[in-house]
Amino acid sequence: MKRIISIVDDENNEGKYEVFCSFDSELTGKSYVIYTEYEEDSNDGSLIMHAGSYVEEEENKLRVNTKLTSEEHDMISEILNAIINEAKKMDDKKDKE
Amino acid sequence: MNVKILNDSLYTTYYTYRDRSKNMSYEGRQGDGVRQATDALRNFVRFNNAISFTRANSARINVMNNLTRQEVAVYLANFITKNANNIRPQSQTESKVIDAILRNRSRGMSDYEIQMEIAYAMMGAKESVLGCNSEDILDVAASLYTEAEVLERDQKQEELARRVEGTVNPRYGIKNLTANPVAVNYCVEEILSGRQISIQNDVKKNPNSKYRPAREYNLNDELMAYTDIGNSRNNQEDSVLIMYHPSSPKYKMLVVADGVGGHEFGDQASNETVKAMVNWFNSLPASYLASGREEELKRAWTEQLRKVNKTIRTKYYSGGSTFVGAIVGEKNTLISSIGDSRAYMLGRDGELYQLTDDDNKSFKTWKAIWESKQKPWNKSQKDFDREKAFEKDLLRFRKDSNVITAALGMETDTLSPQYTLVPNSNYRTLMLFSDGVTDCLSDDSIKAITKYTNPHRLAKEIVNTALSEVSELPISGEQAKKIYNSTIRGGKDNTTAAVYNNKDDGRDR
Repeated sequence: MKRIISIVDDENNEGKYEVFCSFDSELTGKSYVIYTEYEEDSNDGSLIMHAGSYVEEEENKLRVNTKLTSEEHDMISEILNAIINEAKKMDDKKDKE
Repeated sequence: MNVKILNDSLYTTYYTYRDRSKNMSYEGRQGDGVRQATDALRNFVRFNNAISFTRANSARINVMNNLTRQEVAVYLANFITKNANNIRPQSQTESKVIDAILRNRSRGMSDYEIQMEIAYAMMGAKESVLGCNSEDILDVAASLYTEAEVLERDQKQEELARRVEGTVNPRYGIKNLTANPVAVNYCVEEILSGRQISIQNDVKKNPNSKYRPAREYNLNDELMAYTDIGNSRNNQEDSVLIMYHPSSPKYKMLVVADGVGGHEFGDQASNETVKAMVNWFNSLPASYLASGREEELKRAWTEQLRKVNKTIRTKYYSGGSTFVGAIVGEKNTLISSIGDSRAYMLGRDGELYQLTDDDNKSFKTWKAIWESKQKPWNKSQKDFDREKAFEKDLLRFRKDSNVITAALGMETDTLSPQYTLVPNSNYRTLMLFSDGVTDCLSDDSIKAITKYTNPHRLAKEIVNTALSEVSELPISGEQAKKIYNSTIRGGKDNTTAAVYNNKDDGRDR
């Protein structure tokens, strides 16, 4: 599944990105998104990861703040790793079945 | 047919409409997305209309380039026929279609005949078939398939979110997590963006950097890679790739490419090689990786390597790249090579085996001599093997050891890589090296490190040992000095290793 959205960054640059993950944190009271570069005509779409807190400006358009505190950075890294590990475990389980 | 593309596109359509539907609270709300995804699938089969299939351009292009409506019709016909016994009809139309399939089957029609009848009817060739209206059959097949597919994916997403929320520090209070469950392979990420090499070169240029000019990758302690600029070079020309096939992690690819031809062209040639391999392996149908299809896989791989050869020759005229790659298939591993990057395996018998021949004159001469040599009656097999290994080890001291006779970008269009096929059950560890490793380490050293190192640290351990090892020529004399270097200092070249830790116990399941 690809979820493509428009993201406006800290410097007002707008581009299309593929959402890898989004979540809310009760600790910071903010919403976060981890997203990757997306090229419309390319199937190999490069996978440079970005992350930031966001507010939704309109449907499928997020304004993202990529300036994160070290705590936010740790939280995002932990979630990213957890997703990768858990997804792999699920794939392995499915494979064995 | 590539079902992944079908399902990705189907799910994108479903997801787009489901999200939109969530934001609509008025009466015109369009359902939960299943209806729209079903319609899109139906329109593709009936009218070849890929535009309605998904609103995301890349997915639409993917559908148009990779799927034919005939394939999708046959696939849907197969789905509904195969599952007819297990489907609980939810409407009169569904009941009618399912009954028709079961009735005709009980009358002696084969499933294949039923499928083909249904497939042609779905595409509009007949108005009715098996006593049912063709459009009804298409509607039922498309909606049942869509429901089954999106339900499975939704459940998978929900399970992933549950697992992640249960794993991370509860202090963060994570809520509403949604994730695209595609594992990120940083090795592939860096290859596609060209950063694998540039990061190392940038570190090397910065005298204050506290980091090694190196990259390390680990996929689940199963596929590992480590690459380092070395102690003498100012730029990295090796590239390394480890990846899973998109259809299943049981299929894997490992590649080491060592650029030749000097600064700029060498690194670009090796990056071009691994990049082409990523794209090719991602689009390779999983059916090619099944046991018994190795000859077809070889042909497809050769064709791809010929394209890479041509691209490098055209784009980087003075550059080239060695290549050693391994594809771990269902039961066998196919290894391909051009140049002097090597593949080794640590067998289940605890012995180390070199799986590739160097495209290098002195290696070929050594091999030809030893293949034709008979063991003298008065020499033990052990002594005979030891002498053979000793002479092989001398090759790395030769002054012309780096003169290779074949490389990508330097061959004609009829390039023929070497291939070796190994049953997966034969080895514990598979390793690919650039000559930065094999020039600095003897086979005995590689074997010792491999046997006594935890596999997930192996790639790094081998590279680090190769960077620090100093080897002295084991023979002396004036004649030897003309042919051989007396010392090999570790890290004289870019040094790279890719490792597959075969966790399978070797038993055929």
